Amino acid sequence: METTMKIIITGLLFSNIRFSRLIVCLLYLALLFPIQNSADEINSNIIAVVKSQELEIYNEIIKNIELSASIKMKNYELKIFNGNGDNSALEKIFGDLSGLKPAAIVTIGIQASYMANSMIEDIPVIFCGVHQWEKFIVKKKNITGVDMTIDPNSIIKHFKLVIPDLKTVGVIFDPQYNDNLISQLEKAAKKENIKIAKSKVKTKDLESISLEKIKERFSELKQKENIQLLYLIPDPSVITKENFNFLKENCILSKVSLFAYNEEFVKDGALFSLAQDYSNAGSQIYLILKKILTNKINPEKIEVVKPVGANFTINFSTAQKLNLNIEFLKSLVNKIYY
Amino acid sequence: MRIFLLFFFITAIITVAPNNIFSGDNITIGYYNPDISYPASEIIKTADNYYKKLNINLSMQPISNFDNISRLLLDNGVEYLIMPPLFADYINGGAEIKRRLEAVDKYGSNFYSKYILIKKDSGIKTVGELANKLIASSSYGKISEEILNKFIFSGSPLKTENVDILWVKKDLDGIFALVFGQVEAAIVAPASYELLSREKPEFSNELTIVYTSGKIFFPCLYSKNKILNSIDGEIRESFIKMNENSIGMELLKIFGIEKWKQL
Repeated sequence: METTMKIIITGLLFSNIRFSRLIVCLLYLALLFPIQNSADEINSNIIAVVKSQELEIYNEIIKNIELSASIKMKNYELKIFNGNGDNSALEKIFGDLSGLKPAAIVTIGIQASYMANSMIEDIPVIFCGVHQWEKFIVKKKNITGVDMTIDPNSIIKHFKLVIPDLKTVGVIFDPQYNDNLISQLEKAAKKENIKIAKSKVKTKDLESISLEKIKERFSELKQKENIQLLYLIPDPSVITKENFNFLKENCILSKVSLFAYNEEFVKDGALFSLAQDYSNAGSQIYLILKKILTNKINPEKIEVVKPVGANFTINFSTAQKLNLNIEFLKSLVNKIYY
Repeated sequence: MRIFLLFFFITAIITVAPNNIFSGDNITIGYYNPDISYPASEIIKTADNYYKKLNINLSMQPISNFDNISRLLLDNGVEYLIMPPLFADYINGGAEIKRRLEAVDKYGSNFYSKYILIKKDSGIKTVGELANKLIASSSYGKISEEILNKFIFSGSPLKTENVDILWVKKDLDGIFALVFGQVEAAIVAPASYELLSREKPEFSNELTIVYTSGKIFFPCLYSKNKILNSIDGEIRESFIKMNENSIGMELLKIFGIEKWKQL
């Protein structure tokens, strides 16, 4: 706006001169005051960070973005916005940001990421804190991010750390929830010559698999497939208190290692778990911001990256009951339960 | 007159006595070493067992973020500190510490070197070829870049200005990021790499060391300049004699050292 005014005023000052000279003058002015394009309207020194709600893990991500940015992106100011879990508050934040036009927007959590995906078209958006992002985010030209689903290759490598001679992993699941996860896991397992023995159970919406069925399926997996490890995936039809207690006890009796997706199960007796580690995501986001803002790479050309690292938790009492000698893992895990 | 003398006597004792005698406060030792990645719970548990056995009211407080150390010292959150000396120059805000003991490994050496690992099939021959590449490293808070330039990259053509760093929480995260091709190199402590090579050679077989850093001194025991407790001698002794019993040995293993020695 300021530039446009300057051009008009200068033009008026030169209004009495001949046309050819006017052209020369205008070209000269153009060099002095390059006409601004829409990108110049962007508040290029602001990076907006929008969190879906107030969560410690989200603050950890922000802290790590701030840390990297304070070292390497001194020209940028991070502005933090909190949606407080309220869709209308988030809608207002993104409406305001459309007007403010920051250099980039970082969204943390599914609510903020989903809304930015639908409301923001012309500002780079970097999302994180979304599990199985493909289900919720459309990869538009201004969107990229950090996936929060642990790489199945990493899961398989961790299996091998705990059970070096692992040949067969069992999994009881309802395909309506985790079909994609299982097929990715199978691909990763194949590279390590590990078989995924699948036990599919179909349920109606929100129905749980009965304890009787779980007993039957576990027994089949053990007897027919000789599984060494049972993978407890985030499947609402499988995971009930009753089913978990049965699996936990019978895994120990059958010398099968029970692997879970959350450390709460480890605290309660599962052998080990791998869960998302949000602390490394801040550094990954910074690297994407650097590509977009410093190296001027279009977000469209930046792939959504897999998370680096995972919270690796192990229960040493359970390991002892399974006669596993994994003492060396003590210095490699994030948390130990006894 | 007697009552006055008694009052005077008690007041004088309270005034001059070391703080912890009447407060009953536990003495806390802060522990910061990003090159050793034992879980905090394991450090606390083992230290508790050791000091209970010695009947010393002392607890170990693992510190995960370097940026918190100065504040903990100033607020009397910790009275002693175990920390690699390379960080001592960065303690600020008026928190003054003095070095009390140093640590050595089984060869009597008081230093080690960190490794930069790459994949064997990466085609990289020299550390210089890592310029403009992505490298994983443990984070040291706000001073991370300075530490890398001064202690890890010195002697190599690398600087944090000409590489991208992915800051990670623990060495295993960096090693797996390297194995999965998420980074081109990983900076790791020798303890993690050697442990993995010994216990799980299949993991380290596809990796190789492209660069070994200069000397990094093992952690030292520091105390605040002004000691507030009356059992400083006992605490010092508990460190010197740590290698004389099995729980103490466990604690030394966690610290990644063989024993503590006088300066």
